[in-house]
Amino acid sequence: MESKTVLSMKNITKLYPGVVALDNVSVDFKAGEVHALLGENGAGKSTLIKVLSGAITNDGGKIVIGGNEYDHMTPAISRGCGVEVIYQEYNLIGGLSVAENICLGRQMHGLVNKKEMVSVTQELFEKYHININPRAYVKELSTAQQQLVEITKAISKDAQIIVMDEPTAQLTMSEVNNLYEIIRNLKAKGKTVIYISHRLEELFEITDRVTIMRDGAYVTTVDTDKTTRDELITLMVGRELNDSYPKRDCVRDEVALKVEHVSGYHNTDVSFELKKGEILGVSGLVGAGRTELMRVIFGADKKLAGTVYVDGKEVHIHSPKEALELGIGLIPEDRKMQGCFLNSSIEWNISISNIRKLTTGRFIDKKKVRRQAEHYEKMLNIKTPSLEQKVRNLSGGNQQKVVLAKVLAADTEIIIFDEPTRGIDIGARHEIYDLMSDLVKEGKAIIMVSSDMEELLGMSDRIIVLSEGKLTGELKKDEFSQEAIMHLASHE
Amino acid sequence: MTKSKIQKLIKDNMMLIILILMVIIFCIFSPNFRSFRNIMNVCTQNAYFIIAAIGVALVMISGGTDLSVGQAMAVIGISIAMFMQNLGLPVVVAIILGLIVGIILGCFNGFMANLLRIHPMIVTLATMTLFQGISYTLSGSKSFYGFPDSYINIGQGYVGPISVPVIIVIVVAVVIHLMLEKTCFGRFIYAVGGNAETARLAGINVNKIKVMVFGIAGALFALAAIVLTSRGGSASSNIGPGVEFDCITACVLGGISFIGGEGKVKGAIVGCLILGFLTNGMQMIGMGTYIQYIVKGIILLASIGYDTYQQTKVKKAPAKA
Repeated sequence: MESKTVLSMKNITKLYPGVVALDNVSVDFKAGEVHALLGENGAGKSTLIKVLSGAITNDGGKIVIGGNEYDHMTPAISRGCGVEVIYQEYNLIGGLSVAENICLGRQMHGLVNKKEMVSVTQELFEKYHININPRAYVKELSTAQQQLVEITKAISKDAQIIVMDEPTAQLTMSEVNNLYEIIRNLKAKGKTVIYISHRLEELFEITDRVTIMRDGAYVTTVDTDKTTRDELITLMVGRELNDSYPKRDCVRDEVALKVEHVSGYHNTDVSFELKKGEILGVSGLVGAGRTELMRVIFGADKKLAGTVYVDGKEVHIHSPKEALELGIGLIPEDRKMQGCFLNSSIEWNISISNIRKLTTGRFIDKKKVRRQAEHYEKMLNIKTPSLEQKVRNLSGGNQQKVVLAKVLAADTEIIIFDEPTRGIDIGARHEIYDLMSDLVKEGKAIIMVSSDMEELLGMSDRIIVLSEGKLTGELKKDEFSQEAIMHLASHE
Repeated sequence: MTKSKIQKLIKDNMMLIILILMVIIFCIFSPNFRSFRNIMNVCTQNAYFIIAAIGVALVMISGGTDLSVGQAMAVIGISIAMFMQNLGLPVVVAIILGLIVGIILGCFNGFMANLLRIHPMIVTLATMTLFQGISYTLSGSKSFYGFPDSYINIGQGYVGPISVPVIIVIVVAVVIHLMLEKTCFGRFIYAVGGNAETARLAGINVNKIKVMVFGIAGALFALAAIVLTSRGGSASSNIGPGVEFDCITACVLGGISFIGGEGKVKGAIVGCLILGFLTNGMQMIGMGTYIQYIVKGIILLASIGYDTYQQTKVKKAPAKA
């Protein structure tokens, strides 16, 4: 089916001091297609979208949209042409109702008419089969619901081109399916969806064409039904990438951590064991209490009942400080808000958890701090021009390595990784996997909470599954399958 | 490379450069201003203010704000006066007890912020009124005069050409600077201000750090109250209050972030000196009081505006796709 081109971006170039963020990129988008932008972090996807939305000004090239040609966009022109971008951080106002958010910025004359807003919203929701109360406050909604509101808001402005940046990053399985349904619906109505995602399997599920970018340059555009996963990976990283997970066989007999009948505010009666040299996968749907369980074990949240043993000895952990002293480290799910100090340097971040050991007399010894940072820079292959670089300026993968370095510097033997590779591009992902393997080979023990099924099946020695705060099952390596996990995860 | 280094040096020290330029301009226009005596006087007059601002700076770096400074200083000043006059305690003992009162008031702020889990700004907004009540109850709205000479000497004495308050400021600045830059505790203050949750997960006892910061700030407020009351020779419920917003203004001028996690002692001092010299210089060149307010307001807006502009320019520059 040939459909007409609604948007062409021609020879777009964007320069930053010392960096070519976009190098002569040309892409066409057609009406009624779901078009994916694929590339590693730093490939230029987001920059291209920012050029389209008018958030930044391109240094060269043209944008042809709706029959008009523009040298560059402004946010107003972009909106006027029917382009709406749904960013990863939602731009909703929590203290207003769903209807008020959706109607925000619309031309409504005179006084605010709540009834009209609600009926407009209701109509849109019915059209796209969305089940949310228009009168509810946005802050009371789940992440998935907020995203649906954001999408509805875009549609309500009669958008023709809708850009979704990593829309499924925070959604559960069933919510993702719901989102697909809406995307298909949009497609059927002739709208163009530009879809940015790291998750390859999603692209095969939902997209028509995939444009691959690498290092700020356009690589190629392929029809989704004529390509394969391996081809996409090769195009994206520009080299053959060994997609298999590191093999190892290093689980020891000694138990590193034993959790018995632990309950917290979100968990009831959870028991499991973790052996030295083992990676224990923790699966479950969003809201199953995985992160919460880890925070209870780490002492970040209150434990209401149960016992924890480290190396066979009963321990009482009341704070992260005590957990770290016992050799338990946590790499949190929310890297930016909980994992690192974004405005501080790499070496500052790495040294913060063991700074007391890096002193001479009463004062911090800068040389020791530097030496330690250099050690981890080498060991974890942190890519940066300088250790004084602010962590804010690093890519997700390198930020994660800094967080890992910080946890390792505290002499931890048991490391909890909560979503170790979320938002990290595929090349850096495998580096993280290799590092995790190296750590367990040394005899450290790892708990890995993950929503990424492939990673879970590929990396774990054993998997436990939580559902509604309770442990619903344990799978040994030979019992691993997506179906088995899903079965346990949706256990009542 | 060298050019960008110079640019960075200028950018990092913008407020210091503004201060120096300002002093030079006043020196050119006013012969009275450019005497060593006047410059020393301005420093001495503002000594208490600088010490208090360093305390506020500490709280701000840890992610809080303290609005109760002025009222806390009044309570401390009156307490010391009463220790000396009503209880007849020796000066040294009165001063030590005064410092302890300061630490207690500060820790109370920090403790309440932790207990109620609300922003220190709100807590100190409340304790500001609480401390005011305490100061009036203690003083019975009377003023205290006639302190012993050894006490008066703290505020009015000189060692060579340099006044004792200025020496106290220098000692405080060096100690607090070393504490912030060189000790683990200093790091933890920045960590807590930069991101309290990350700090907690990194094994830092965030609540303890917060209380300690407020405690140290309280001790500095006590020192500021001692310098102020000994220099003026009197203590009352009106001596101290009013300094809180000047302290915050000076800190903001000196590049100490309202959000926390950023700032240096140097910044707070430069901010205070800009305010101090501006007031003095304008008097010296014979500007009317009302005009002075207008000029001060404009300079504040311009310098903070320029600083923020510089910062955002830097933030936008690095490329990240």
